[in-house]
Amino acid sequence: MNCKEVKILIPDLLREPDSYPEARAHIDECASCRAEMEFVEQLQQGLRQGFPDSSVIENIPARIALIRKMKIEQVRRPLVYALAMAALLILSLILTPLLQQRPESPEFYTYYEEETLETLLSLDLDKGMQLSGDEVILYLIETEPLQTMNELSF
Amino acid sequence: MSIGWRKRLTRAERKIIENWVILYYDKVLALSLRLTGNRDDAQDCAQEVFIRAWKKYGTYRGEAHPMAWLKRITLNICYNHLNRNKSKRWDELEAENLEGDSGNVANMNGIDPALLKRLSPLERSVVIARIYEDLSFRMLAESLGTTENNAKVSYHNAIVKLRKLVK
Repeated sequence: MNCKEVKILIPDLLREPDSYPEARAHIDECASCRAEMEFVEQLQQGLRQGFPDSSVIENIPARIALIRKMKIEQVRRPLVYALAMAALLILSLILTPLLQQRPESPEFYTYYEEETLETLLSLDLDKGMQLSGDEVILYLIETEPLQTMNELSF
Repeated sequence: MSIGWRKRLTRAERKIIENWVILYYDKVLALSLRLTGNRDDAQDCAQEVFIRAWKKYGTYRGEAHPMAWLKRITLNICYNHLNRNKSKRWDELEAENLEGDSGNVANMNGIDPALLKRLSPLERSVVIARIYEDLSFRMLAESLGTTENNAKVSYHNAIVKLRKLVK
């Protein structure tokens, strides 16, 4: 075994010194690995002292509160699913008739556009003159008031 | 359960997890404290561990010791927590844990664990799981969502960094 392989086994050797005899033999002969083992052992001690298990003993009410929270969670999740499904059902009931009643595209627009084009083509305008959409409508109202007004108010 | 509904636990299963809270809460909290470095975060994480155990009980097959399973969940939750809260990690470590509970830092025989705050969340999680908890590289890699090789590299890098800091 080389140093790299041995060094990652050091925590296991600290826990169970006889777990890897080959690695143990290597450490006995290798100063670098021995130094690393001492370092890891010191770090382990530091952690044990810095965070002793006894320092975090929680009282019973904290555990009871946690158990209660878990029970609420158990009840709440299916309730959330049920509410979500109910909301979806209600939405679909509301939206389905609305979607069915949606008006089709108005025919008069097409007719109006065709007529506009025809009218524009028949216009006797000066060269270079341009009309905006509103101006065209005004022109149509002026030239063919009855027919156009009926269409606009449709 | 193909449509994602979680199976409800039986009364007996619920009782088992409630017993785990009584038996292992301290251990889970201690590990959370080592990983997160502050008590509030550790308490939040410990609670989350048992909630997740409650939700995922169906995936626990009883092959491993319950605490081994809980350790893996703890490691995963704390690691994710550290990644989410990089800015405030280990801020209260010295004040709360080292001076408050275990006496003066100077009286310690080992290496000051506050040095671990210099490590990345992955490095710190790997070091703590390896040298303080009985977790293999394979198990901790699974818990942290990384490869076994990456976990080994992170462990090696972490020890090198710490040794440099101590010199």
